[in-house]
Amino acid sequence: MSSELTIIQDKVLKSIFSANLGELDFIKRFGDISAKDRFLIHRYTVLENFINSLRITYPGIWKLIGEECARGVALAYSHKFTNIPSQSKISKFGANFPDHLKKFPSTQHLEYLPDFAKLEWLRSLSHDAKREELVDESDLSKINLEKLESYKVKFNSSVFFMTSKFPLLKIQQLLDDDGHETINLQEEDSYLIVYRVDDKINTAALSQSSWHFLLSLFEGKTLRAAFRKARKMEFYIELEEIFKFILSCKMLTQIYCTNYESRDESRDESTS
Amino acid sequence: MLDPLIGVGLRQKHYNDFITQKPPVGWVEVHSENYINCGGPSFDYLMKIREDYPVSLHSIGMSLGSVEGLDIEHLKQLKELINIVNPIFISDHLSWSTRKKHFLPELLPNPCNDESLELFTDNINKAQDFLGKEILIENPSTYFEYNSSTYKEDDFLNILAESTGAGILLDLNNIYVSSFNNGWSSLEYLQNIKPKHVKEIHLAGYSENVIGKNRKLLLDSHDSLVSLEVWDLYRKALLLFGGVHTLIEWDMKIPEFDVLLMEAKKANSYLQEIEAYAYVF
Repeated sequence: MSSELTIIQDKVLKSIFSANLGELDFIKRFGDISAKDRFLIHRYTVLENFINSLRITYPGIWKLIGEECARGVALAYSHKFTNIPSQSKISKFGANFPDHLKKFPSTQHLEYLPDFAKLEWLRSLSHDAKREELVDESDLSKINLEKLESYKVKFNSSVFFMTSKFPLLKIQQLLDDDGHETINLQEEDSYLIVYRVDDKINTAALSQSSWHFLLSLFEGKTLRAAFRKARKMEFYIELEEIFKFILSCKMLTQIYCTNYESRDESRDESTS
Repeated sequence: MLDPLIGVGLRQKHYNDFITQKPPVGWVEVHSENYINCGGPSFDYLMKIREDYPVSLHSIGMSLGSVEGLDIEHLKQLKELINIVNPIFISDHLSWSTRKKHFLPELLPNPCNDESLELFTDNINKAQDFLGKEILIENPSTYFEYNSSTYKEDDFLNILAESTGAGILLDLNNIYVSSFNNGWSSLEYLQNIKPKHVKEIHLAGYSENVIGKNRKLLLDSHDSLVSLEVWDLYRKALLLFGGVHTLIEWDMKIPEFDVLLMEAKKANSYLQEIEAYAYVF
């Protein structure tokens, strides 16, 4: 439909996002307030709502670079059409912000910033995850120990994995604790898992071995395949400890035995 | 206990007030899009609170005035939420927010003319068919009017309600703000609305955007007490429409719950005053 309404809505859209307000000839003149001053109310509302949304999702970034800088970065982000989601993905607004920080002139020298933003993004996703039926320790008694190696697990949708070459948890602690002194931002690998327990979003730092083992399970591998993968990487896995951790943190929705072994898993086994 | 017709907007800051104190309001309204994932702690709070209070789902995301039609994925999500919450009302605005598949967090008005009427009618009919429910349409706050408008907004709403079967959610603060900004009479607007369509009333506070000496626009900011002018409109609206579900909305600079409750009590007193005279009319 290339109608008058389409033309108006396109003009409105252009005027909200362009540096210069476009043609505002659709606005009726009334009183001594200009069409521009009237239209700017909508432009400011759109941009302020976008900035507020980013402020809520990325509170740590706001603290790290300060309100003025953060607003500037957020404003530039909100002006890019490709960053604006559709109606059904409203909650995904801000998904590209970590990449934006990497490329934005006034923040690109802060190499740790995109990773910290990614952690905050995962925490926001974890926060919004649907509640699911969870496995508790009593469910372990139902496990057939003879077939233990063929078991798989399913993590709930609040669980996310990420790695970074920066000490992200220490940065978080620094932000949380005003009395905290300084931290060394030299490279220090982080192996993190984000998860929600009841209303609280948690971020745990794991050993490299535990993280890789859990990631294998998260990706759908059997216990046997996850073990073999860890062994190939010369990792030692404390199975009981890891399971205590993921169960106490309410991360699992299912533990189940499977006879099916994917081709990849068979290959893992045959090559070990 | 307040009259069951008096409700308040439920916001995160007041979840615990509702759960621990069970304030004496008749119902609550939430922004659908804040719960549309049906997940997260906010959703859990809503599920607890709805055990004690009827809930109305007020959308800001259907974009009923969009020339590209409705986003079916969004409607599916909304329908899932509706099926879970079983709301007393489902509402959205006489506005658009989506263009070229991008969603803008703002309620942008359309001109009031035949082309727009046809578009709104088509989109509202489709939304009601898909959701299987009546929706209420809220009058927007406007900062300008279109050269191409051929109807007054009140007439436009009446025709739209008639042609779609949708109800009208009258936001009295929006009427006051728009009338101030565009130079028409808020009372005439009220008097022109057909009472049979009015299913809900919103009350909220506005702020001023001073542009220059003796030049200002009123903003629908929902960040303060309901103004005296809007209370006056409310009294007149009750005389015209009788007892209607009424909501106190407060979205920015959200106060302690007692302040919101005080506003709800004030609305209740107006309602009681009208009910005392109801038989006269």
